[in-house]
Amino acid sequence: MSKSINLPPSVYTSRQVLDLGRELELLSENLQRRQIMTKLGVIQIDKDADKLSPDMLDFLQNMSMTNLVATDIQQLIITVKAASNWPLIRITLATQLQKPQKIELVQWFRANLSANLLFQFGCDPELIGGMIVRTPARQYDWSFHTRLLANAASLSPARLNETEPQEVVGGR
Amino acid sequence: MQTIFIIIAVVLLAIMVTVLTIVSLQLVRSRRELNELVHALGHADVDQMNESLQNQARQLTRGVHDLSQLYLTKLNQSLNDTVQNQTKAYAEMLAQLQRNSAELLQKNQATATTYDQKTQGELEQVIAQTKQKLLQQIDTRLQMILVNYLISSLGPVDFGAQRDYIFSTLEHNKAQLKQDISNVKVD
Repeated sequence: MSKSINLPPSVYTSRQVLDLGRELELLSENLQRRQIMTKLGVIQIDKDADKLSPDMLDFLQNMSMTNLVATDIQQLIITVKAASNWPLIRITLATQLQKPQKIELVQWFRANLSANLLFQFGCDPELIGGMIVRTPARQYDWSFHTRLLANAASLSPARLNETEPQEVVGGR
Repeated sequence: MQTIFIIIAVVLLAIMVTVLTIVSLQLVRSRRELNELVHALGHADVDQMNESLQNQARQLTRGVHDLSQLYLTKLNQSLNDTVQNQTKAYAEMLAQLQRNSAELLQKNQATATTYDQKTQGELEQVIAQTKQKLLQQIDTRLQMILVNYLISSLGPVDFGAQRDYIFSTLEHNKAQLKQDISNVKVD
């Protein structure tokens, strides 16, 4: 049975998701080995012994999984790998974002649009400010650069005697 | 006896000579008469025939002359008719040609006028478009200069300074974004 997953906001790129899948496979092997040795059905995850990454710890905490059964983890691996195909949102800003700022944006998107989203952040200083958001369907240009170009007509003396400025639709 | 026979023979010989002479004379006379007759007859026929022939020749000459005159008259008349008809046909053809030329010229003038007007309109339109395009290019360059000046003087705006703008923009477009994502098919 397929189990839905909630990725923590710190895990938002497809690369991170694929790494999680691979790490889960290693974890599964460790758990199976430990299960054989201890002959216990449920194994407690040892974050030091299993050398779990911060993303994996966030993920397991987000999923409220501290004790794992070997069969459950196999299903989890499949689900996590499938998550790498979630819709990708590309966000470009004028400055390089810090991780908390990225997490803040990821949280907003996952809370307001869909929990099953992946992200890719970019930086373009020419935007000046604002951002460009690209969904799989279209692109939204909310950059200051485009706003300035759209409204700069009012600042240009060459257009004083000409027609009204037209609104710029679409991206750069 | 012998003498008798001689006398008889001489008498008979004399008779025979006499008869022969008479016959010869008659023959000569007959021949002369015949010659005269023939001669007379011959002269009369030739003259008559000559006269007749001359008459016929005159008649023939007159007839030929009359016929030539008639033929010439007819030919002249026919030529005149033909020339008149041809001249009339040529005159009509020339008039038609003139009318056609005038119509064509008029039509061409109308077409040329229309074309001139159209070309002038198009030219004015192209000039207006070019002017508009040049103005837009100037605008764009001025705007680029302005934006570049703003970029170089201000620099990129910090995320914290524009945080409210970013999230209010996202909130404002939330419905559209949600619609986009809901339309995406996930494998």
